[in-house]
Amino acid sequence: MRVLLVEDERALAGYVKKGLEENGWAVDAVEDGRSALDWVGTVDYDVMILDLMLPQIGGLEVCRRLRQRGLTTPVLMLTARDALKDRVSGLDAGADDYLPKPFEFEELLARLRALTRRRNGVTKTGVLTVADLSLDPAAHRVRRAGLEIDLPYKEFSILELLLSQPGRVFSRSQIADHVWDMETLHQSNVVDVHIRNLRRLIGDGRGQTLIETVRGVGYRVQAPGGRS
Amino acid sequence: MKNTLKLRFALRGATLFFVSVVILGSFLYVTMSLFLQDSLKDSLRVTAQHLVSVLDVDNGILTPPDSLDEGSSSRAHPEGFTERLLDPTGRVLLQNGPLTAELPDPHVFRGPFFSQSTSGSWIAYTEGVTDAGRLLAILQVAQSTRSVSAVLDQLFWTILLSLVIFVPLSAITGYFMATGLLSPIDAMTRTAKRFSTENLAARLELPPSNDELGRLAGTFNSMLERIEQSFKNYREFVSNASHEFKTPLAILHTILNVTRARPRTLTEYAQALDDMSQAVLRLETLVNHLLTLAKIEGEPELNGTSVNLGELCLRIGETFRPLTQAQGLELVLSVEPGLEVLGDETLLSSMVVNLLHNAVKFTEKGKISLRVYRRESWAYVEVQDTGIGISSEDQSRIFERFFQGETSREGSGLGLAIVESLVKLHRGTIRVDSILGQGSIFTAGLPLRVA
Ligand SMILES: Nc1ncnc2c1ncn2[C@@H]1O[C@H](COP(=O)(O)OP(=O)(O)OP(=O)(O)O)[C@@H](O)[C@H]1O
Ligand SMILES: [Mg+2]
Repeated sequence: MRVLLVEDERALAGYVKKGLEENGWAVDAVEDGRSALDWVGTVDYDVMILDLMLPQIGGLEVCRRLRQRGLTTPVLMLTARDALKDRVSGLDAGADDYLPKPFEFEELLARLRALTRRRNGVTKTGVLTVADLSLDPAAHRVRRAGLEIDLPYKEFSILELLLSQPGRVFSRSQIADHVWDMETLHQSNVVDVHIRNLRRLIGDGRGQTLIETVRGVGYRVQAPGGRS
Repeated sequence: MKNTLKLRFALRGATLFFVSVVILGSFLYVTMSLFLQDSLKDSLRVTAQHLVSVLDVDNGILTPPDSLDEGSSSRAHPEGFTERLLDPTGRVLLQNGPLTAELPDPHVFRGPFFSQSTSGSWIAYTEGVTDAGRLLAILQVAQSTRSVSAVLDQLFWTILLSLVIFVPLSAITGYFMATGLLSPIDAMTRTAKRFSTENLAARLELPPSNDELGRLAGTFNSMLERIEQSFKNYREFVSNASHEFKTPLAILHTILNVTRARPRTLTEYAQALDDMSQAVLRLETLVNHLLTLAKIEGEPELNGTSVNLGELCLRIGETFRPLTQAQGLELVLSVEPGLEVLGDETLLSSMVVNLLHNAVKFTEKGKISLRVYRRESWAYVEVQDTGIGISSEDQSRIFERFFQGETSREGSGLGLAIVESLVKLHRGTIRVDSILGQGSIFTAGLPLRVA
């Protein structure tokens, strides 16, 4: 999952980025409203964390312009002001959720998951299941045939993306966009390397194969009830 | 009791009315009765003189007429009119009328006189009939005073009746008049009750008038206005201050959360501690700034000592040298000696520190100069930089609490607010001259101490 973090407090942005990355998110961090609007137009983010008080273009204005452009990227407002008035105006401007500072990092993660889940239309519990494989984004846990599997972040993110829409083919660049942020240079074969690793870890090939290669296009996970 | 003022108004009004009617009534009654008696006596005398003049006196001999007052017998006599003619010895020669039995007996006549019955029911006039100084006869006329007392009774009852009717009426009128007059005060009471922290907009809505109450209402409203404003300022201040506190707290919180989520290397821990100490420093500065502001605000009157402004500025300026050198800035200090002002040395240094701090913070390259000089009876501290400058829009707002320019990242926006309050406390002035992109000059003027 890829998130755009808009926060002008560098120290805060730095640690939020670090924490999110350690939980499998790809994070692009910007410090002002203008760059936020630039970035959100070029990359398809799963969610956006937006500080209310930003230099030049404030958070509310960013949110409003975003919605004017017809972008539906879920927005989580982040602010040190938690007067009712501010909360209401944030939601009115088109924000989807609101988190007052200071916040528990766990809560930030949970809210981000809820926002992306809502967007992708996944079930309430958020557990993604295909065949005997299940992935719980909240607990950051993957099980196959009842056995728990420990996945590195990138692999986890790739699997999460593939599972979010079973049957759909994701191109290599779509996968890369989703998993890596702009600062990470990625060569095209980096995705293949991680897919290979992922397959090995979830035991694909031994028995049932879940992650399929679609030649010349990309990868997909078998839709439930599809051919085995 | 709720209505005491109105009741008192009513009671006072009624009492006043009662007393004035009683005084006026008594006066009227007495004057009236005196006047009526006088006119009664006059008419008796006139009648008597008329009767005497028509008596037939010839050469000292009085020929008693058959009846008195024959010429005017056709005239209607007043009630109880009685007349009597006596000879000088008191023998009755002639009499008629209902009061003959009661008239006084003039044993010895020494001159005309009035007499009255003990009950006051009649009044009589006795007159002598003389010729060349010899008393020939005595004439008495009398009349009942019934008509007079009837008028006086009428008057008495009228006064009494007016008391009975008008005293309560005046009480009621007084009550309602008071209600009308006091209604602005009632409105003020209601407004004051309505006015609260939840409802700061409550105002008196009275038709404007220029009387005492109108002016009171106006004063009342402008007082509410000021209270509302200071409440709003206070709320804004709290909201701003809490925002400023929450940001470093959020940083601390996040650093702790993220760092503790998994085992870290020593370098990572060291980095986290460094970052946290930055945030703590920020909190410290914020608290110090707020305390300074509170201290200035809580100190309405300055009890200062003589401060050598030049020495103070030199001392502070030198402490900035390492900082300016590190940033590659030139620092120029030029100070006129012997300029003494009355002030608090700690507060004055905090003023200079804040100005220099801004100059360093908002200047990338070039120089910063601190000058202290004298013009007339003022000492001026001037901090000039070649930094980013301030737009004229921002120039009017930089002294506001928590105001920060777009380009400002660190700090809380309290520095210049503190400078301004400090200058005010020292009865000085502060001004800013700046051109965007070229630099700024902050000039604080302080009155020189009179030796
Ligand atoms: N010398 C200067 N050059 C350019 N801009 C300045 C200068 N001094 C002040 N300003 C502007 O005025 C604003 C208010 O200044 P102030 O000192 O009150 O707050 P601050 O410096 O941002 O924070 P703090 O002083 O509380 O650390 C600053 O944010 C900045 O935009
Ligand atoms: Mg400052």
